[in-house]
Amino acid sequence: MGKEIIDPKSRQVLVITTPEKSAKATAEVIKHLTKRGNCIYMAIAKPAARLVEALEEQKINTKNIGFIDCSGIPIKDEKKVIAVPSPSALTEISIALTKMTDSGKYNSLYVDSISSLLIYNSQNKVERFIQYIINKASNMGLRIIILAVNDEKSKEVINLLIQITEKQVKF
Amino acid sequence: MGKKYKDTFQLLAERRTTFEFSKRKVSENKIRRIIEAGRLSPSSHNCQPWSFILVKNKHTIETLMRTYSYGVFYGDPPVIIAVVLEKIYKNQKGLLAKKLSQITLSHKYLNIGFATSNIVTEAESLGLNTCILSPIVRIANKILKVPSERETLLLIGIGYRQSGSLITKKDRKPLKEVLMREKYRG
Repeated sequence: MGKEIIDPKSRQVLVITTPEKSAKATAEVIKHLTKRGNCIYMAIAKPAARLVEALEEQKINTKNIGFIDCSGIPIKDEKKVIAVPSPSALTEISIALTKMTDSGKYNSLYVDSISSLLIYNSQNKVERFIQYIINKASNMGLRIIILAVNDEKSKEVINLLIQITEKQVKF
Repeated sequence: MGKKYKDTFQLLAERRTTFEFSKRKVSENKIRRIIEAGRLSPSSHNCQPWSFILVKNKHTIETLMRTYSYGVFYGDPPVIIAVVLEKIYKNQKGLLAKKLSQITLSHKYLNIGFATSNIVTEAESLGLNTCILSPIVRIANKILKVPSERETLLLIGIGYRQSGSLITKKDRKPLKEVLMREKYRG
């Protein structure tokens, strides 16, 4: 992963990857973020329990991660996970994010991913939502890393994100 | 469809913020009455330090809805009333004459709150739904062409709740925690 992720001065980073490499990109990002504090993992389509397993297989300590799980699957660890009924419930996701940021525990936010958001929401809604999230992270002093899979559907949103994020990394 | 309340207390007890609005239009008569409710609000020394900007243009609403970054994510309402804090001049004529020394900044902000509360209450009593947003003042001023030294402090979204959209639980401190008799913690 590029210096842009490692460098904490990059407050807003867009990671552009392929479907094949997205899991590896996530592992790399989370490894960096959890070494530098506590991270909020906004999991749009993957259940938190499965992500914990996958990250721990990669020897990544998940103790420093708080999950927003939008998969709709019932959760076990209610302390570390806030469940949201669906990836299209954008207000609920933002309420969950507010709860997490208000705790003052976290210093970074990972959004996985724009491409998943686009499966469940219109492009216009996703664009507005992600702008809202970026502003909120900035106001709360959080570093934000956004994952985007470079597919046809995500193209236009990626172009927008290139303009509004500080750094872009191809993985 | 908005709710009909049997009295003001029921309205206050049951009114919830609306996060997502339907496309249904709000009638001019209702909008006028809602703004009148704001105009009739009480204010310190009757200073009435407010103006209301009625916004119905879809593009302007969409742009305004991007100016807040605290709170949560909202869907666009069909109508926004922007509540602007007016400047009170030293030598103001008319109703605001010679009021400056008596009106502190906190009074002005409180007065904007009174007007907003009246607007929201009237809208809900007419069967409409509302949300109150705090915009980034500098940006909201620019969008609405509000002159400097005035502040677009609040945006009130008005419309009808989209069916199936989120309604959060009312979460308030219990009465025994906030009510004291005769003296603090008495």
